[in-house]
Amino acid sequence: MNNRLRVLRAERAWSQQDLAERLEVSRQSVNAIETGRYDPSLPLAFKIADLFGLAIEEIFTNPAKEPKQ
Amino acid sequence: MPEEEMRAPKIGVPVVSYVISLLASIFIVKTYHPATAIAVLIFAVPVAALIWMVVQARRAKRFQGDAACGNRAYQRRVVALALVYVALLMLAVWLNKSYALTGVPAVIVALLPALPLVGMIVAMARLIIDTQDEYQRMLHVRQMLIATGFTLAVCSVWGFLEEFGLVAHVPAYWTFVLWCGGLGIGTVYNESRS
Repeated sequence: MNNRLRVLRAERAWSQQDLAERLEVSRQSVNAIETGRYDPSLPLAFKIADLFGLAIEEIFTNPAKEPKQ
Repeated sequence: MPEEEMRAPKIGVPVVSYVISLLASIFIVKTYHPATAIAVLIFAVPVAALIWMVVQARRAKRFQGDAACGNRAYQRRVVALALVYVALLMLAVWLNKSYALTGVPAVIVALLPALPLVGMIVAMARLIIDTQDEYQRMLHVRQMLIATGFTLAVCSVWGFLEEFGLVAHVPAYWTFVLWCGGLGIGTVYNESRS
């Protein structure tokens, strides 16, 4: 699932480690989510959204609404 | 390297190298009975692979940070149980050779080495429960599912080959060893997806 996590993180000048500590997950998890290799659970997605003060759909792209290739 | 491109250190290749080189060394030494010095050289290969595996595992732990807490507790439990297993196996073999045990004492002695192995299975269950990081937990579960599928497939195939007298009988406790080998395949699969 595509997301804006890397952009949001860069805007705040946070490293992956910084974000991982704020979310209480591993740096590996942040990396996997940013690169779209892992879709977070709903509780973690809410946690990410709360951290950035955004709605989930403002961070993660709804796969059903992604343009078909 | 930019942080965005950072990946967890790979451990799959060292794990597979260790398992294959260890099995190959045992096979060579058991089959050809080389001189002690040659045998030591042969076993130096899996030892080197083991050192490589440990180094990569430590790097991976540093990469994972605090989320690896469940892993550390698991490793402590498994190492402790492995030591208990070796001690109980030696004790059981000694008791079996020294005394003509029958009945309940024989059953108890036979079960001694199995208990720490059951403990290892419980430790693996605790790893899943204790891992707070959901991505890490997913990796553990996927690794164990692959190991389970691999074990069931090999045991099914082997069972029929044995039934038709085409291969030798293998004691059932090798299933656990096979499953642990399957964990190595699971590790490689996880890394290929990361």
